[in-house]
Amino acid sequence: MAVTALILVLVFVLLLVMNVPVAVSIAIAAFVAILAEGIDPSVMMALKMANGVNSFALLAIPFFILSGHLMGRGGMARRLIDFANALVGMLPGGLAYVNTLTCMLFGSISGSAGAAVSSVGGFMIPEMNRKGYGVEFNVAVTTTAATTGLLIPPSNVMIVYSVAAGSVSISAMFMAGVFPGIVMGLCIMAVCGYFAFRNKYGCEQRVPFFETLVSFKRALLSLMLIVIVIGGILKGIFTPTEAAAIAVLYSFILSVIVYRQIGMRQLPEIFRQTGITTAIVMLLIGASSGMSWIMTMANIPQSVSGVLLNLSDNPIVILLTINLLLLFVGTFMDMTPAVLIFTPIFLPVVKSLGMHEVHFGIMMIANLCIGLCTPPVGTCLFIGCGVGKTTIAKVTKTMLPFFGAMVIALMAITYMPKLSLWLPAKTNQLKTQEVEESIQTWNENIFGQEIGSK
Amino acid sequence: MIVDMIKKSRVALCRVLEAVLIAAVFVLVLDVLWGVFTRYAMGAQADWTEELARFLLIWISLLGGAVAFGEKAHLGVDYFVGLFDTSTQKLLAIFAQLVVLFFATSIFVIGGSAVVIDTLRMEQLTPALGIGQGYVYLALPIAGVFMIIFTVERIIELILTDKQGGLN
Repeated sequence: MAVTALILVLVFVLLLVMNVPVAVSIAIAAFVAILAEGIDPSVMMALKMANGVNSFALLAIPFFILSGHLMGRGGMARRLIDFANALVGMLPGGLAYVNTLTCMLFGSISGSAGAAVSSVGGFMIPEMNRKGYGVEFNVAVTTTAATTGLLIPPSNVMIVYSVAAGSVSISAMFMAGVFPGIVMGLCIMAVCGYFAFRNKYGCEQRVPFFETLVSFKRALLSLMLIVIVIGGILKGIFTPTEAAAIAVLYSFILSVIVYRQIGMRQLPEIFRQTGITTAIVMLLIGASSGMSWIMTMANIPQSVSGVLLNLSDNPIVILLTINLLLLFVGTFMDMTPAVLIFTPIFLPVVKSLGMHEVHFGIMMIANLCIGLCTPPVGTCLFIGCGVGKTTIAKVTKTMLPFFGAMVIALMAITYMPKLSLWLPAKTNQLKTQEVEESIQTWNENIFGQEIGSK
Repeated sequence: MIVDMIKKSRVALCRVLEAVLIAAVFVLVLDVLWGVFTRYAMGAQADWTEELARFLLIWISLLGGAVAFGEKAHLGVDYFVGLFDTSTQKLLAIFAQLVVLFFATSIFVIGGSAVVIDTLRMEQLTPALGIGQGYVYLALPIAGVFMIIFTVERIIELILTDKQGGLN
């Protein structure tokens, strides 16, 4: 058993370091490990690659990708910026807040942090440069703020987590992400405020009330997408997958018919892109389903639990360890593979501490958001530096306070279960009693008997 | 010359594959919307819509996965490889492609064909559509063959550029 585990880890790390695609590294590591257990790995892995994605819940992923493509192209960024400007532009350092708020909205609607950096940053970074904001600061704000869209629903990585964790409610995950996403955004805005004060950044002109209304009306059609998806799921009208399909229909009507920003001729290319992006995620999911199968066979999650629980019996220390490990992994690995690989390993550990699986999912995603902005490998950072025409080396120092803010948000998310669990319980996506029990076990474990026994 | 021919054949192959991929995404959207529509407008959801959607997702995942190999779009960790000098990097790149070749051959083509043959022989039919389950898995060997073609082409490209220097 221990041999299988060792083989799995060694082959995986070795292939990963040699730049073999992550999905292939996972599949081959599982392949070799299955072989070591004396089972025919070819047939097993082939079945896992196909059946691992044979799920109606996963269908939401291509739809959210497609609606993100349809919404993201063209004027949505501009309309959201105008709206955000009317709301927060008049503050000192106003454009930084406008940027953050727009990234939060855009990231939520498009579902892609990378698209938020390029679309919002493509407009905001040059504009902020022109108004005298430092270019490193502008890139840092955009890059970090864009990741909050992964916590604010709808979010594909939450669907990936739900499947990896074994049928966690997607709707509950969506609801759970709202406040953590906002907290992350507020922490980033606090750093903006500090820079604005120190560097004496100017304010934008106050937008008259009537124009605020006009900008709201123009942004409303884009914002409605969030309302339709979340409202439809909460009211029980659609499943998340159906809501995602309705989102495609809505964004098609909006972009192709109402705003005419996308012509019929561009559609095949958008479908092609959607197919490829979907396949990249799905191949990872298929390979991971093989890996988690063999990991369960070889009792790896239990062994890891054993090691971590031996390390300390203090949940605070264990969660800190898990967070540090994930932060490290996040610096060079993308979010989706990290979620797929580490969910089956860490979930049993935190569950034994009384942590709710929805809470853990949000913590993990918030943690890996930081990794998207860190060198050496950070997708958002790369795109941000490209858009801002600057280098990672120049930006990194300015990024540090932003990382600090994100870590503070992460700590709040980790150690305050209510931040994640209150809204899903309130909207009946999770049973109130289940949540209360989970939070109580959690408090007993963290604060010891004296508080728990009251 | 050879590189050119390979490149042209890849473009042609890619086009066929992409056409199927685009059609599958399009049908998938219509299918799920039709499911929602039938449930609300006609009272009962057509039961084949969910099954068809899941099968389309399998086909999109596997065929799209093959296209992604052709476009080098799969996620990887290129940080550590970047620490080596260029000639070592090239060797490592060829090694990585050989691993992909093994992945495509053993899992997709060999494993996939076995799965297709087994499920077809058992005449396993899908519950709603009543088609052979084996046809759903057919995407495995097909995607595998495309992956092999793209990978072999990439390996040849890597070896040839090594000799001619700087052509990439």
